[in-house]
Formats: sequence, structure tokens, C-alpha cells
Amino acid sequence: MIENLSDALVLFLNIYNIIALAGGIGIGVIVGAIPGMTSTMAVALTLPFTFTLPPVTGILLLLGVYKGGVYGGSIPAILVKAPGTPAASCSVLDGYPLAQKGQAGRALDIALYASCFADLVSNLSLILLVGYLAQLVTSFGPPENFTLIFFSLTIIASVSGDSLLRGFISAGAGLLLATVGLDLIYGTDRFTFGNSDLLGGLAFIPLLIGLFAIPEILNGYAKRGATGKVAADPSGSRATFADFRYCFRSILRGSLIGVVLGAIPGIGGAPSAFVSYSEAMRRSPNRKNFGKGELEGVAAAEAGNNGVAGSTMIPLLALGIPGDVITAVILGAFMVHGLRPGPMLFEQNIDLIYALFIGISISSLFLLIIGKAAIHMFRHIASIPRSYLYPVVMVLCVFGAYAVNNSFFDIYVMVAFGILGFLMMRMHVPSAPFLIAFILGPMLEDNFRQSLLMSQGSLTIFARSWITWIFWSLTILSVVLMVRRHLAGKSIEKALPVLPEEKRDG
Amino acid sequence: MKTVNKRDFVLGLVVCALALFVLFGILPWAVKTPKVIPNLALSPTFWPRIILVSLVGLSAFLAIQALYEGIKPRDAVQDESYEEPFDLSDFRVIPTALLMVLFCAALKPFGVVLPAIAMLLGMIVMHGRKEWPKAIGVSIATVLILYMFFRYVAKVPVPLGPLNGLL
Repeated sequence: MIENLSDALVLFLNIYNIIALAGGIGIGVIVGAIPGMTSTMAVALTLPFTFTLPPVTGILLLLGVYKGGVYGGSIPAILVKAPGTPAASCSVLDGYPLAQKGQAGRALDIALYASCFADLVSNLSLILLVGYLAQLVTSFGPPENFTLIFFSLTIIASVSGDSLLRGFISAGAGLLLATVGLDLIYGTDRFTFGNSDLLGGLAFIPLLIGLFAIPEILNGYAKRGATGKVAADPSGSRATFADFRYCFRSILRGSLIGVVLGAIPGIGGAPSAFVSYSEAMRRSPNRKNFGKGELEGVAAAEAGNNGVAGSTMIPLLALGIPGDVITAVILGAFMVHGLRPGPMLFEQNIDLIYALFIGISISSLFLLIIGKAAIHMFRHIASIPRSYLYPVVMVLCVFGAYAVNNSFFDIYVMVAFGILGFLMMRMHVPSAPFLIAFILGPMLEDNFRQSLLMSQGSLTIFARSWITWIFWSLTILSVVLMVRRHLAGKSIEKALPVLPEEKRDG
Repeated sequence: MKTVNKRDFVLGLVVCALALFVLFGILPWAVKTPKVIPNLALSPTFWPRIILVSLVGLSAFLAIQALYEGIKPRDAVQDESYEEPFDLSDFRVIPTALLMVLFCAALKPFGVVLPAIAMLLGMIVMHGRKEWPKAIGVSIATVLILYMFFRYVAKVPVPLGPLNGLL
């Protein structure tokens, strides 16, 4: 062990590795901060540059881009309500309201601290638990995934705002639109109307940008009056240690949620962020402030999505199974260098694994330093006059939407959902349930149908293992708590005295 | 005394009507179903049908709730949701939305760059800025910087339309 570690240190202690890691994080933060440019895209674009680099340097560069990208997505989510990456979409819920209150700096700071802490926890988990968690993950099949995702959908209740019904309607619309495209079991068309652009379904990024960024832009035009500077952060607010301590429980919980969900192939950062956010809201005494600019909400969302960053490497390194697209690209980088992740890698190249672990361990510190610098750079966005900011963000969204598939169709989708999002905003229909359902819908349906295929139609498969029982119990518990809270809210409302009617008018 | 919650009532009715239309008018021909399916739940229409039926139920319930429960005077004072769904200021959005639709229509013949410059300029002016030189400068510079980044750094082949060969 000690000998392996010293070999790994020799392998790691090389200026090129440090530059690759820091440079990768810098690139990732910048790319992540551009709406529509996902960390997947950034990692894929960086891959060719690693071909000529030594394996450790190349893989650290990719890991840096990935980690930077995951954090970078929160910057535009907080500043201009246009999440740079899908995983950052949850950070919009409280980050943007905080920016509107003039606390953009505080929100960005807490997002960074939560991200770095979660990243550190995730990295340590990767190093310490890679073997154990990998064993657990192998026992997840379609029925277990279905029950997990079904449980995740209970989050919708937490992000539905003042009306559960409106939230459920929004989620229903998201689930319905997620069915557009080719049916994965029979390969038949669903709601494609002969349009080949719809065969792969509605692209997620244009829909996300449309639903979150464009309604805000349109709202800016509706409410324009004395146009001036954005109310955000003229004095440069900062998150204090007290803020960090206040959010610490949610950060720790979100980090652990991220670690567990990240280790399950195919789950990813966005569901993790929403689960973490929902849990923080469920347990917070200030739950009524969630969605209106609650610092803990930003911290929980960011901890959730960054907690995934290290643990997604668990199935990759331990089993050679990529958990998502990014780890699939990183798997490609391993293979380009003649390495095959999995149990054999631990036997034959343990020094390389340890060198990567050392690099991964210090990446959280690099993320903190580079992220802090990025905040200073991007903070100025908040002081740009809205008459310039909105049009520039709109054009940025256009380029971002186009870049996903190099398709005009995605721009049309973005604009259409932008207008729909504005109407939803006006009708007080929350867009977060729509988004969550749109993300989780295909996974839910695929796992449901795959399970039924496996069981030849028998529903008993959804109770086949202790894992499914755990998730069913959690779902029931979550629903019971939700109903109880709703009823408690109603009884408090009834207990309040009704104001005289004339007060309504004046 | 209670007032009908117009916003929820209208929303419930519209969503219910749309869901019924999709369920009976669109779903039967927009989702192709194989002739033989071993299990009803495996049918490609199963999931959309379940969602649509749920939407019909939820939206009908919302409309009925809005009609019978309405809004109590206390809510009217405390709850921001009491505001009318649309107000006159929302009409200002129409030119901006139209500009976006026009931009979409211009993409195929003119590529991304020229329509983006025009849209950016239009949006700046619509927001009340009349400093033409600055607005034109910002429009051109922003789009060109974004074009350069996406074309040469991200390697995204951004269509140029008539500018092909110039940039």
C-alpha cells in the first residue's frame, strides 16, 4: 500500500498534471457558465487534446473540465436565471430570487462553498467506498431504478409552490412531452407527426433554456418601466462563515445524497440536486422561504449536484460501467491510453489509480480558488443594464440551443417553450415540476416497461427485492408527510381570522 | 364571501379541454401501436394515456375547486396569486415574442449571425435604449464574439447564410 502510494506520488507530482487539473477546472467553469454548453460537450471537445498527453495528465484534464463544468452551471443560473447545465437548474429556484434581492454575491459564494464541500465528500467517498458501493450498485436493475425514480418524483410536491394541483398539472405536461419520440420497446413513433427532428424526443437543453431563461426575458419586457441596473449586488455581498454554518446540514445531506445517487448509473446530477433541495426544504424551519430566495436552497441544490461528481466515477473505475455520458467519454480516454477500467485496473495499474485519487482529492481546492476568481469575473454581469443584458442573454441562449444538435429546430423549441413558460409564469403554474417530470419521465417509463418485459407482465417484480421495498416505504412516508403538512397548513389557514371584505379593495 | 378564482378556473378548463383533445383526437393517430402486444402496459400508448387521463382529472378538479372554494378575502389581501392572470403590461411582451418568432423564420434563409444581430438590436431598442451607435456596436460585437467562440473554439458549424465566405 505505502509502496503503491509513493509510486503514485511520483506519477502525480508533475507540473503538467497540476496545470492540466487547474486548466481543466478553469475551462469547465467557463463552459459551464455558458447556457447550453454542457459539461458533457466540454469534456467531449477536450478529449482529442488528451490523446497525446500521458494517461494521468489527460484523465485529470477531463476530470477538471467535468468538475468545473458542474459548478460553472450555477453561475448563470443564479445571475440570469439561465442554468448553464441541466444539473444547475435546481439552483435557479432560490439563486435567482437572491440575486434579485441584491444578494447575487452571497448566493454565488454559498453555491461555491457547497459545491467544493460536496465535491470533497464525493471524492473521499470515491476513494474510500469504491469497492463497497460498486457491489450495491450492481444489484440495481430496472425495478429498483423504477422505484427510486418514482420516489424522486415526490419532489414535485415540494417545488409546487402554493398549489399542489397546479404543480401536478405542470408535472403531467412534462411527463407527456417526455413521451415524444421513438418508443424504445417497439420502435414506433409517438407524437412525432412525421418530423424527423422529433424522433429523438425534444432536446432537453433548448427546453430548459426556453422554460427558465426566456420567460424571465419576456417578463423583463412586460415590466420595463424606469429601466436601470439590475438590483443585484451593487455592494458585492458575500457569504459569511455564519451562512455556511447555517446551511451546513443541508450541504452535508446534499453531498451524501449526491454520492449515493451519483454511484447509480444513469441518474446524474439534476435528480440529485432536486432530491437534495427537497430534503432541505422538508427539514428546514424556513421552508416557506424556499423558492423565494432561501440561501439554504442554493446550498442544498449545489451540494446535491456536485456530490455526484466524484461518485459517478465509482461504477466506472470499479466495474468499467460508465454511469452517464461524461464518464463514457472519460472511459474513452482510458481506452485510448490502452487502459480498461474495472477490477483488473486495480490489479495492474494501482499506481495510476492512486495518482488519479491524489489529483481528484486536490481538485476541490482548485475548484474553490478558480471558482472564487470566476465569481469576481461573472459578478459584473449583474450590473449590466437590463436593456443590454436581456438581448445579450437571448442571443447567448440561441447559440447555446443551436450548439446542442447543430439544429435550427432546437431554437424553435427553445422559443416555443419560452413563450409557454411565460404563460405558465403568468398563470402561476410552476415550471420546476414540469422540468423534473421531463427529466425523470423517460427513465421512469423505460424502467417500468423493462421490468414488465423481464417479469412477462407481472407487477410483483416491483416488490422483488429489499431495495424496492425501501424505496416504496420512502415514497409512502414522503406522501404521508406531504399530506399531513398540507392539512396542517389548511387548519392554520382556517384558524386565522378572515379580514373584512372592504380591506380587499383598499 | 368568496370570489371565483378566475385564473385557476380558466387554467383547469383549458388544460382539461386540451388533454381531452389529445386523448381522443391526437393520440389514436399520433402514436403507432403494434398489432400484437403481449401486455397492455407495454403498449406505446399506455403511458401517454395514463398521463392524459390524470391530466383530465387534475385539471377538472382544479376548475371545480376554483369554482366552489374560490378565494377568500383574506387570500385576496395576502396571496399574490389573487392578481389577475394577465394585465395590460403583458401586451408589451407581444412585440418581443413576435421578434423572436420572426428571428426563427429568418434562420433558414439568413443563417444565425445576421438574424441574431437584428434581433439583438431590435430587443435593445424595444427595451427603451435609443443610443443607436452603442446599440449597433453591442449587437454586432456580441454576435461576432459568440460566433467566433462557437465556430472556432467549440467547433460548432454555425450557419452564416449570405455571410458565407466573409467570416
